[in-house]
Amino acid sequence: MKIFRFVLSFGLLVFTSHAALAKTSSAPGETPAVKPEVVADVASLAVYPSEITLDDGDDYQGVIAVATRANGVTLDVSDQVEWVVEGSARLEGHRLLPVADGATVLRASYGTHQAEAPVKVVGVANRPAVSFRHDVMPIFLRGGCNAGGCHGSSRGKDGFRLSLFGFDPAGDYFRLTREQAVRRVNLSIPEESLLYTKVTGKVPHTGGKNFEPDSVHAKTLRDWVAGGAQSDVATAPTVTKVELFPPRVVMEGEGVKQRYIAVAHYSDGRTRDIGDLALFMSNNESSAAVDADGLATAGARGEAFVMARFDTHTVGSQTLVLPQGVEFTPTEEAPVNYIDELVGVKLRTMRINPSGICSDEEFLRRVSLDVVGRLPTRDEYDLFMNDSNPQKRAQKVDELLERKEFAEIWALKWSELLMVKSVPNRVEYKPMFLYSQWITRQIASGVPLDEMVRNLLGASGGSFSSPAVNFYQIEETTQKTAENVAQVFLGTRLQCAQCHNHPFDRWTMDDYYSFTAFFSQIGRKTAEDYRETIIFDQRSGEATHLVDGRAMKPKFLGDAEPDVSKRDRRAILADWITAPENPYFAVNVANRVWAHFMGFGVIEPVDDVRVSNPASNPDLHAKLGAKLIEYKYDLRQLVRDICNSHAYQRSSEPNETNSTDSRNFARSQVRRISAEVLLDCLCAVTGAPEKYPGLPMGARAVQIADGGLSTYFLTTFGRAPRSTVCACEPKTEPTLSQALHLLNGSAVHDKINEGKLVETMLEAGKKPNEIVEEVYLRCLGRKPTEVESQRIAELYGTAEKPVAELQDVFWAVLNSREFLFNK
Amino acid sequence: MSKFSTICTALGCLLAASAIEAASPRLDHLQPQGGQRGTEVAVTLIGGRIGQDPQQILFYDPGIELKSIERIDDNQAKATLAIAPDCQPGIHGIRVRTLTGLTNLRTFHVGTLPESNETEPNGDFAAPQAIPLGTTVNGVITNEDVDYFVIEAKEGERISVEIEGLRLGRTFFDPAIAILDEERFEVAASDDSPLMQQDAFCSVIAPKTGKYIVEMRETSYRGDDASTYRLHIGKFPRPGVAFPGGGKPGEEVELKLLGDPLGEKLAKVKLPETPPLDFRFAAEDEAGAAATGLPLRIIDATNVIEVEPNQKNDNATRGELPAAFCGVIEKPGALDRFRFAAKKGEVWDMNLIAREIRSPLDAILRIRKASGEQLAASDDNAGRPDSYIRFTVPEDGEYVCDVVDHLKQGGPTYAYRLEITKPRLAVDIVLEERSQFEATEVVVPQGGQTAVMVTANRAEFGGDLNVGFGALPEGVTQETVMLTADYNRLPVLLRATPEAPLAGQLTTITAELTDKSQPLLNRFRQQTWLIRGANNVNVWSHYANQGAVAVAQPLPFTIKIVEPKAALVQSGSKDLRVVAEKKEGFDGRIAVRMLYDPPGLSSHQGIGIEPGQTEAVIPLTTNPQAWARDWKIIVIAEADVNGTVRTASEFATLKIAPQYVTMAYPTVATEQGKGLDYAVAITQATPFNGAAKVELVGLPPGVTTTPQEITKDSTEVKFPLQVAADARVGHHKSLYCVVTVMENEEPVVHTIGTGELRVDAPLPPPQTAQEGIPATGESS
Repeated sequence: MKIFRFVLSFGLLVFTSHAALAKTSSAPGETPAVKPEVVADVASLAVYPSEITLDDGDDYQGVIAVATRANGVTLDVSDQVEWVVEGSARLEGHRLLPVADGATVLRASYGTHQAEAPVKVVGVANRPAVSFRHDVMPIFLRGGCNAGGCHGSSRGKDGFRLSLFGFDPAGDYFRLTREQAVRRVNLSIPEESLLYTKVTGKVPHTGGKNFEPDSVHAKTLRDWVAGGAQSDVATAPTVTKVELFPPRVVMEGEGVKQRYIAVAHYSDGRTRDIGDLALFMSNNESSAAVDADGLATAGARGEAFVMARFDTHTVGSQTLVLPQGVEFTPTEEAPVNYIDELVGVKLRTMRINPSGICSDEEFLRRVSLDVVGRLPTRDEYDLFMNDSNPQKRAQKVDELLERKEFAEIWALKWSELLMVKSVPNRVEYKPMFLYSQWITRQIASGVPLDEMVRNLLGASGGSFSSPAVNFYQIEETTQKTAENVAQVFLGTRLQCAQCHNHPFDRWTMDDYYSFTAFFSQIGRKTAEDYRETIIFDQRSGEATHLVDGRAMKPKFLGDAEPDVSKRDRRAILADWITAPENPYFAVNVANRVWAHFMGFGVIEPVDDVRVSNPASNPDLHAKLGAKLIEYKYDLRQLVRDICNSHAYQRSSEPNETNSTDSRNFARSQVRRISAEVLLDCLCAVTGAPEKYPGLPMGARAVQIADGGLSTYFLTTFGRAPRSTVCACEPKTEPTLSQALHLLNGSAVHDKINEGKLVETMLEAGKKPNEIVEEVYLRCLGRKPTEVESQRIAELYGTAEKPVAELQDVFWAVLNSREFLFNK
Repeated sequence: MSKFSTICTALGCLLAASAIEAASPRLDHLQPQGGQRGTEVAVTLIGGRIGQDPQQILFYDPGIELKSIERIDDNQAKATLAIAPDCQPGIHGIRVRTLTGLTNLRTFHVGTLPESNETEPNGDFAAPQAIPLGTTVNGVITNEDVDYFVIEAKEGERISVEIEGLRLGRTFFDPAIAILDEERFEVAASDDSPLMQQDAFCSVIAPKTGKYIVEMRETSYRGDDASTYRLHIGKFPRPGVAFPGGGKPGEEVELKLLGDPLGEKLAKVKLPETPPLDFRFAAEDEAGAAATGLPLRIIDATNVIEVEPNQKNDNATRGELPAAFCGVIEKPGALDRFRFAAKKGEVWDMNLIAREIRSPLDAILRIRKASGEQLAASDDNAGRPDSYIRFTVPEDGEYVCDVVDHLKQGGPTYAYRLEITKPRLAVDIVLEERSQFEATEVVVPQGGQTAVMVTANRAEFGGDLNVGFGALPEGVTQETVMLTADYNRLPVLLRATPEAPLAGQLTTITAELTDKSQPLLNRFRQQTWLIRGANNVNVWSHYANQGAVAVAQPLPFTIKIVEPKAALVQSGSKDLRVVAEKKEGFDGRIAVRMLYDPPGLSSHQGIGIEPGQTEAVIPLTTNPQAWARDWKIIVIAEADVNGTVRTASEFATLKIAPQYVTMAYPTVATEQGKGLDYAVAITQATPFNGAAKVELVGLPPGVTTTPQEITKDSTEVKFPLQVAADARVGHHKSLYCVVTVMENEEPVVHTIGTGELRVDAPLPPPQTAQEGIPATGESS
């Protein structure tokens, strides 16, 4: 049953027709001579591409056959299968070539397994001319000619400039053919064109020899010049889609190989094998290295994303690499909810077993820190530990979710993302403070996240009376605002596309400027109080394209061009972002919530969603987003799911199978407590509060409104300076200065003295060992172990009121890693 | 406070020890800063030197009388004020006069409720300070302070809370208030309000009988010892706007008071014949009277009240110009239209008044032809949210005005007045600030004089003006000059006889055309900057249509200008000699400076007559555009006589004239070591007597010459240039001449430029070919 589900989850397109195929033999000379050795436990076979079209006499299509074993491992059996095709097409090696217009079927058989793909052949009589847009330009990308270090540099290289990754085909055409007459392109003697002589190394070229003179790429360039160096920039069909096959691969054993096939689809309906034009990449070379022609080789155990880039499209295929013949017995554990189910599926695929469930003590401390940013008090500890209700963990989660500190933690997170801080001569303290309060109120009063985002993005009015408009005050430039919106709410970094098409994602400059157009009509004026700015829709102003100055119409990212004539463009965008159909928003928010509790996101970094940075568990990623929508964007409900899952409640102790894994949530991640929460905890356990300017008495560090305000402690421990929207701003990496500050600095020592906890407890008649226990419980959420108690008891001996010794113990506990970390 | 007073007392003792009366008294703040009308209030006046011989308080508004004023110490005085029962509640500007001068302006705030003081601790919601409903609390919000007051109210009763914080004019204090019920649920809250700007008010109906807690804090939990407040808590009516917001002078207007939770109330008000600068109407009913009033406009145009619906061209409310079209944008997104006929060539000023009567409306005004074609639109004007269009009628016909809110907001208090009137001839008169942000008070020493600058800006007319003070204290006279049509500033000299009684009074400054051909609307306004924000932005100011003049004790010195006997030419310079007469026992430094610099003239600001001296010269320079005419100048003298005192010289005439000669410079070139004659052509413009000395200035190092002389007949001056072998090579473009003509034994110094001298290095000697080395070409 488990295996069955596993196979389904891979969703391979499987053709298992046992019909007439079995006795069909291939045409002589077109099949491998050696009879293949058939792997016994193959469960299915597939041929890729699953549909083939050959569109002209020169067209061809590479094909592969992939077998899937019962345990989910895939095998590239292109060389082992028996290929059969008749009629309109013929095979030459693994390349399908046209014979005559018509339709046929490509069949492959492997042992008892068969698979097939329909083949359509049209226009065999046609021999299309070389296209600048689709034949020549891709060569520049493939050859690295238009990369940033070469001619793609903004100043070009050695006097010749190409647009970076080809964002400006018209400009590239101009520079090739018109900027220096005759030299680069010589129509009379095409072989004398610098374009040809440079890339083939016939004349000195800083970039060296890119292609052999007899290579297909060199030939394409020469033929293009010979054909008159025609431009089809304006008329060429656009690439609508790129496909990469196989869609998912599981390789077992180092050195195993898998060939990938990339197919481009054009707006005129044609398809094309782009195996020799696409740029193949892997995001994890050590697990799966891929060569220029799309042949991947398995390496170390792990997960890689093999990608192909062509035109402005990047597509990828998830590739798992398992060691050869690993022994794996999955632990049986009933999932609590969908989270455990989906995490479990991935873990079993990776042949990883999760760690066990953490202790009650660990859970209480972890969940208190994560949900409300506070350590459990002694009373909370006693209540929880003495509670025998099996549902007590779930009850605890519910109880914590109702506390106002929960809202404060998320207000802090949003304040970091929204860069809430005063900015000299732009955002005064008061509007900033009101903005911060607005965010806290939205979360505290349970405003659904989608509504909150609509309130924020569509806000108009004064920065006092409608504090949400401060979003547009903290960042005033149109482009930055658009980038921030994309990064914060869609998890997408558009920055690259301001100057060139995104090199690792689908976003083009057109996308960028069309998206910024949503923010091009923001009007600002100063209110009567000079500290207040009124943000309004001024109904005029356009975003212009950097290359050609076109006024870009507002267009949703990867989606339609809406009618913006009637309403504020920002409100229209906010509706699109928060619509349940939006593919980015809910999953991104859900992933951020997930990352808060689990230490890292399903996509990590959480705000760098792109084709080339896929989710480690796509199904889980999608499900979390779907659940958030189902819950009507109720943050608390999603948190409840996460905190109740086994995935969250696991021990941080690794086992044999998961010790090297860090992406699949097989165990709890040990995390340094964030700066604000740590300071609040330090204040709370020592009973010595801090005083922050501009906040009411008794305020905690998580309530500090102004991102510009910090203390030495907070800065040292990595408080987000809120200068960018990046989720990476709050730092939790331990540093030497943190350690020194705690050891030698005033923070811990002074707080112990200020709070007088030891003295007070001694005066109240507590025994030293009781005080040690109290200190442990307050700081670490657990009682001292016997060894600890014994060693500490040696310190104070028989003294009745060993103030200094107990303070030392307190100091040592506060300096322990256990205090600083949430495990 | 106690620390402050100790310091003040100590300072006061030191000052008293030096035994001369102190000058330049200051009024920093009042304690308490207000009082209930119909009562007598003892107020401590606090400020440097104010306790030294306080004499009088000058009140800018009627209704308060000074009963007594006496010294507490050098820097504090105690005044007893009797506030008339019918005194207008709200802001009353005051200045204090001592024997030696006048203080700056501060405000005293008249309330309508019994007064009490805040008592700390009251920062805990659970333990608020109890006060009767109907109290004005005087308190302070120190850093992060929150004050809670508890009142009892019956169901259905109106609870009104108004805070005067920023409006007290002490510091940039931005209060926020809330009315909470016993369970801490918010009944009402207010941070800012269009009516009170950063100050706030709430007016609600008590939902049930019980206790209500009023929370008072700084909006972002800031505050300091100067963040004092007056918190009015009572049942009084606290409407937000009076509609239609004004009327004609002398007219009795029926006002609808908008925003009262008990519903729209009506009130009648008789508008004054002579409008004050800020006329306010304070709502009053059987439950009490509001602590501050609602501003009303007084203009000579008939109110035309909108008739809803009026959102279309054909149902637009009609009126005849001039008119004040009055309406309310009652709902979000609403549009009001008004229609009128106008004739080609007429000029109309369309002022959309909304925020000026403290309505929340941020209006956009559009004018269209009746056919629909838009002619003009205005959102904000002069940095304020109200709109203004100067409309010149393009053709005879019907026109329509649209009024909408900028953010498409609206509500029952979104009132406005669209005042369409003919432009009026007016003069805006300002008593210039002595230094930036410091409103000038006029203090004339007995037997001496002082001088001030007045700016008079003409609106809608031109011509020569006579400008001067109105009524002056006994024994004080003024002397001034005619303000010519091309200029807008003039000096006014005020003299007091030795016998003039020590007294002070408020007065105004007026202007009229010298030929009295047309009446002018005089708009004298003095701004006292009370609170400034970042970059000195005006946050809260007091505006008065009167200035203050006082006669003070005589000064121990006088000053006079030694009148120049020769002109100061454009692009010229002159030393202005001033002479002081110091009385026995005084030998302090006297700082002297020009009262004003005529256009194109710059005078040195840092000159003083040092101890032991009686004379100084003020260097004057002019640029080429300096206005050539006879200017009446005055020199101001300041000295520290236990506080700064000032006096002025008599008028003296300074003639600024065009240059007597002009010069044409050739561009010449020479080589190092080669001298030459540099001849400059002269054109004579004003004949002069005798010989004038001409010096050539700006020569590069290594080039020297000698001064030359010219007469009124010279057409050229020639300078022999000695050029050293190492003279600096290059283009030297800033050669100019200093021409000194003697006139009436005074030098008339001209600076006339500019010429160019090029110094080249000599060519290298031609090279001869040597064996083995080619004369030219690359060496290998």
